[in-house]
Amino acid sequence: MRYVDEFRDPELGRVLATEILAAVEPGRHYKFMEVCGGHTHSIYKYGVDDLLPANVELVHGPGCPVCVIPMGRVDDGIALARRPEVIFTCFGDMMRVPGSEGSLLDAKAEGADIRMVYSPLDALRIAKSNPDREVVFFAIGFETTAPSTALTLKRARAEGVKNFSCMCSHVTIVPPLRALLDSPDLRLDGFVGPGHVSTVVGARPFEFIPADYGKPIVVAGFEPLDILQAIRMILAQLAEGRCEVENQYARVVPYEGNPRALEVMAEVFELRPHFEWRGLGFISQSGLKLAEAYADLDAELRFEVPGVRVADPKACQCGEVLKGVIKPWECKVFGTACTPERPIGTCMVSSEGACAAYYNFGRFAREREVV
Amino acid sequence: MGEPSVISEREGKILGIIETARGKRAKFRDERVNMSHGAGGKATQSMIEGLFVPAFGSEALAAMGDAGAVEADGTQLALTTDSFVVKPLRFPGGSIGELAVNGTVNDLAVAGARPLALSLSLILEEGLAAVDLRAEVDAIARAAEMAGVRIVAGDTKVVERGSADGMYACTSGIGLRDPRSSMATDAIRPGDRILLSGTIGEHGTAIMLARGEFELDAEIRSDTRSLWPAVDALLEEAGPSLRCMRDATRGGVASVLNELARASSVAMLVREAAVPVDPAVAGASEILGIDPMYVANEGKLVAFVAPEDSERALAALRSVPGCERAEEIGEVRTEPPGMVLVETSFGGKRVMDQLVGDPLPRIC
Amino acid sequence: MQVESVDEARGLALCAAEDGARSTVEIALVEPVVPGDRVLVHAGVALTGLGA
Repeated sequence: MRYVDEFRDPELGRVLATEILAAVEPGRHYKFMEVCGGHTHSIYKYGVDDLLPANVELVHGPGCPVCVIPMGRVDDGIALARRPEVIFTCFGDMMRVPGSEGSLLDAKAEGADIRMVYSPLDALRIAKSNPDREVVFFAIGFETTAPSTALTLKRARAEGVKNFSCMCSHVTIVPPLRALLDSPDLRLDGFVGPGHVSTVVGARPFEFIPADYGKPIVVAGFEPLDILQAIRMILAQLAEGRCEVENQYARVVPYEGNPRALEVMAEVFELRPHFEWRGLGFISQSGLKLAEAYADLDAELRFEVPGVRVADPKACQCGEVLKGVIKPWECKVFGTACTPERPIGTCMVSSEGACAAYYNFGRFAREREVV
Repeated sequence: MGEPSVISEREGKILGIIETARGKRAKFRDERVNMSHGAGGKATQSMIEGLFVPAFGSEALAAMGDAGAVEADGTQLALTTDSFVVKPLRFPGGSIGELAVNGTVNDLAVAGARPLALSLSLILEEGLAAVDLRAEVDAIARAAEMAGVRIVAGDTKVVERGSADGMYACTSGIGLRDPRSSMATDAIRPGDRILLSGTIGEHGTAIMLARGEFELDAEIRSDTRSLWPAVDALLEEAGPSLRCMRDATRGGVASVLNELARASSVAMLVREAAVPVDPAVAGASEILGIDPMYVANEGKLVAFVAPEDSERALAALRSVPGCERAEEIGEVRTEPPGMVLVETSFGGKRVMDQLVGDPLPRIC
Repeated sequence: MQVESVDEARGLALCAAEDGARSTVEIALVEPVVPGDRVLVHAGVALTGLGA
């Protein structure tokens, strides 16, 4: 564990927290978005935000791949899962995401054969050991998980596994960021860039953020010290009037990413013209589907899926919450129609989403702010 | 610093609505039972508090202890029951037979009752191999002998193939409430210390890995064992100072703390760095994205002790075989009532909430 | 995770976390790796090497 423990040293954390406190301008309120769900999780797990001054606020971004899957896609998945010949496989955190009539977990309770996997390879293994069943893998995630799906599909092809297919709901990271940045009412001062996604795509694709929108971004690792250091680096950019892409996670992220992963993805996937994001609406060229050459492994072609679009309830204001325009409690449905037990938008679906966190810990968070 | 922290009228109103909703007794509103109703978190709670307790209207049940109190001609007894479904039947460190004995023994023990006798019901699936049945009967006999209880009544049913995973077991247990202490779920007071009897997360992780659903493999054994020796030692050394005990089974230590924080209207502060976790469990949970605080144990208890006796109680615990790694993991506070806070090993603080359903591995 | 053994024919490696938990990992994106190398693994795929 030594490698990891170096980045979890509380002593160094306090030093960094003190440096951050010294770097903020009193009276100025900073809002930084951590793009990646993995960062949100680390921040929560280690209580990183508790070490920040009250005027440095972290806004959780759109980077939780399960939370952004729209209701219609969940419904399509459930429809596939209900077919008697199908074993439906997906990541564990996808199980609880609500569709218009319940989640995969509910469908499982009603008899659908739904199995949790830790990687697409596990799904392929299930296909090989159940040759009389059709195994569908519900592929979700950003460029971090997409290579894994791509390699598994190539492997299925190479090994001649006929009863395996994939319902591809992979998304890409840049378009939603651009969509957020394009909105005139955005209130963000900088970005903590995604770490694992960047091991694949590199740091270069984020150059448009400082270049076109004038906001600093620092690609960061997932250990608590990584995140604190990234925040200090953003603050330094702001203080020095710099605005660029910096790579805090250089020990893992090459600036150019992993060319082989990008190659495999390009071979197996192609961009969808648009893809719907829960709470954010349609974003063009933000989703992936299987390329022509892999069409025979596409579950959406192999089976009939309803493909019905289920609109987010009109009152849901996840987009505004993500942009930092409104606070969770200012949303019209917060705490009434939309609760952690019956969530509507992405910010409530994820237990670490801004709305769920505020619902559960709002009063506590308030008390801390006053202290 | 920063924006003034004034709660606007509207925000105050919404916080109020949430508080009211949370304070209400959980309602059971689901249309079907799903796996989260069995996971020990919020869904389980909604079923117990929203359906069972109101329907049965029993005071002992409403106290929500691990065992119910029964008085018979001046003798204080404790009664409990538990059913066991586990896949696979055998796993590293134990099997369903041992769980069936220890689980019920432990529910009695943490209620401060010396386990006396058990009843045993087996539901067997058509086609179960005799060698498997024999192995489990042996395991039950062995575990009962080690725990010092007798099995005095029993029943067997056989169901058609496909209706049970090999076998299910139900045990009920009766125990004599120990006069050295009187504990209650609402007896916890600010200042009390929280003791944990050893490393956490082994049972749940061992089961998850034994199912072979993940391409992951680690040397982790279930911790199934009788907790009576540990309880006996605590009662002997610190009986009058013992406020409450729980065995941290499904839902893990986090669920126990949340339930009791609510029951006693106190806050709890846990120091994450003090919580003992075996490195293999820590590693497997990190890979699967699961927090060991929410993972089931089958031989670990959490005890709340008055501050002046906590050191003696801890020393007594550590003297019991299997509890050498017991620790004081935190203390009880006043504010915010009903909440469990964690001081992370990194130095930050966060809320450790109740689990909504089964802990699911996460990818993002 | 640390690479323990490599199955070159199948493009897989057996990898162990620092504490001994083992899993099979796809290594096509980081080849060549040898036992002792450390790799960053996500969803069963090694995404990048971390040196020995």
